[in-house]
Amino acid sequence: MFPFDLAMLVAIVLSVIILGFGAVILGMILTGQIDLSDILVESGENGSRKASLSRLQFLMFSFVIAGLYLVICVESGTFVDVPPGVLVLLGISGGSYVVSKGMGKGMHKQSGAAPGQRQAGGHAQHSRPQPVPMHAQQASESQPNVAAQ
Amino acid sequence: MAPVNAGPIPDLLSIVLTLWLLGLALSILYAMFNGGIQMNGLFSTDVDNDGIADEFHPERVQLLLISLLGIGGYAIMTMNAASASSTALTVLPDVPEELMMLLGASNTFYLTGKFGRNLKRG
Repeated sequence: MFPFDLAMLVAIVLSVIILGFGAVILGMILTGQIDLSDILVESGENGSRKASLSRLQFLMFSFVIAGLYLVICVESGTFVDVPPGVLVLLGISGGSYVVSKGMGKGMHKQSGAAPGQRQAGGHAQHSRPQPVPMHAQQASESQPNVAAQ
Repeated sequence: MAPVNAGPIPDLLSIVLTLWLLGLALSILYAMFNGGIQMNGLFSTDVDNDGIADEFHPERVQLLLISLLGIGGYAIMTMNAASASSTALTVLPDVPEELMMLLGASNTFYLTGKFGRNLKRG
């Protein structure tokens, strides 16, 4: 009798904790405390922000497969097996997202390296003065003679 | 393996978890239609960053359509299999090979288009 009551009590407490987490997260999403506005946004090639189709696809696949898994688990009362085909489906979607993100990062690196390449070519050597780091500026102010020399 | 779903607590927990996942999906869907989630530029690109879409990309449209049809078809297939079976399913139905090939080709087409645009812009 006692172990059953204890197990029941633990089950109730765990259920309340899990449902509490879920309710808090859903409530914060609905009240806007968790910001979902950028959930599909990626940075474009020119620094613009646009919705990403690969993110949307990954979101759809994750929700549908997680929902189906949950429903089948609830119906059967046990954890069900996931066939390799479903994992391949998620892999296609996730791989597409990763490659798409990698392409965007690669473009940003290339566009960030372009000014340096121009400088190495000798066309931008007389550009505006570079900003002085804070610690170097403080050192020159504390030792004016050294700076004057 | 024998079913372990017995008693009011697992039943209640499973129902509430299903409702929670449904609520999360509905809140995201509502935010998409309401403008709470930015959907600008899903099918087009603003090249000069002036707020006006300059290029339309049909390969993005085909990816969205094939993804929606593919994942929707798989969901319907799973529900049909669950309702047709006299006992509860112990494994998710496998994805048809044709569907995987179609989705793979569609994603490859989308990535090729994106890669080509990146190459063109340098």
